[in-house]
Amino acid sequence: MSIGLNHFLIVAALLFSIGFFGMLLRRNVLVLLMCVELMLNASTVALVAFSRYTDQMDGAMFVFFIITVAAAEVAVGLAIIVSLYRRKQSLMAEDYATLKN
Amino acid sequence: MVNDILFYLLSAVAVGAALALVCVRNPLTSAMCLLLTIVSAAGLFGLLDAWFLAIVQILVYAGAVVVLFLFVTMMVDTDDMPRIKVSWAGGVAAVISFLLVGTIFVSVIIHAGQSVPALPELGSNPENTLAFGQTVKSYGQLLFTKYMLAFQLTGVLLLMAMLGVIVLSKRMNAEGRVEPSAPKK
Repeated sequence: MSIGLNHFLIVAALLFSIGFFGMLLRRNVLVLLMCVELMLNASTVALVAFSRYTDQMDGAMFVFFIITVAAAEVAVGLAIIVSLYRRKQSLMAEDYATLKN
Repeated sequence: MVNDILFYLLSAVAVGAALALVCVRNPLTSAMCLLLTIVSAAGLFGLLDAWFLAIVQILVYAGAVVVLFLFVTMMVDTDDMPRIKVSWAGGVAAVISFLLVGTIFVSVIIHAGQSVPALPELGSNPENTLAFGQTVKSYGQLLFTKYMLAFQLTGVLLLMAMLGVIVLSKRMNAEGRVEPSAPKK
């Protein structure tokens, strides 16, 4: 098999950087939360690849916990977004600048 | 050979869907692109013999997380999306981080082939007691021995998330009391 560890790491890095650029460039808070999920997902791909190529189980276990934490994070984040939307009637990150000035 | 083709196919779908997620203006389309990325990542897990993680990924991410995103996207009104305006600082930060990530890629590609471990056969080393296992048993065994504390803490975290969501989604008035629900019309 000619697919090595580096191939998986490059895919993971690409996914992570795309999520990161989305984080910097987008304004919609829902899409921002999706970009966070994308970055977490990229890290899980890298962890599973490391785990398989070093023949150790620990990386796969970390992925297990990462998935759990990501699910909890999405639930709380979406609840925060819904209550923010109730207050401001907007989903744009610029409108949540109450603490500025 | 089949694995190679599958790897390139799944990676192309994952990266393409991730790009679409960032570039598309409608949040609903973004959520569907996130679903595509997650499913292709699950396929990559399958290529790495982590079948259990692939199933968990699809159940938890595609089954719960993306559905939650879709619920909330449809609940809030997203009709009037203004054009994306990239701020000056954000643009500069994006360029700098792009250069940094590019450096990582170039260094990985230059060093590719040097001291890259070959894919070990499953169960090739019987002395390795924590070898990568495909079965659910190997996950459960570690979960209840080596990672017992983390497992318990994850349970506490899930409980806290549940309570947090309940508290956050109640309507409070100025005194912090829960308001009664609006009368039906």
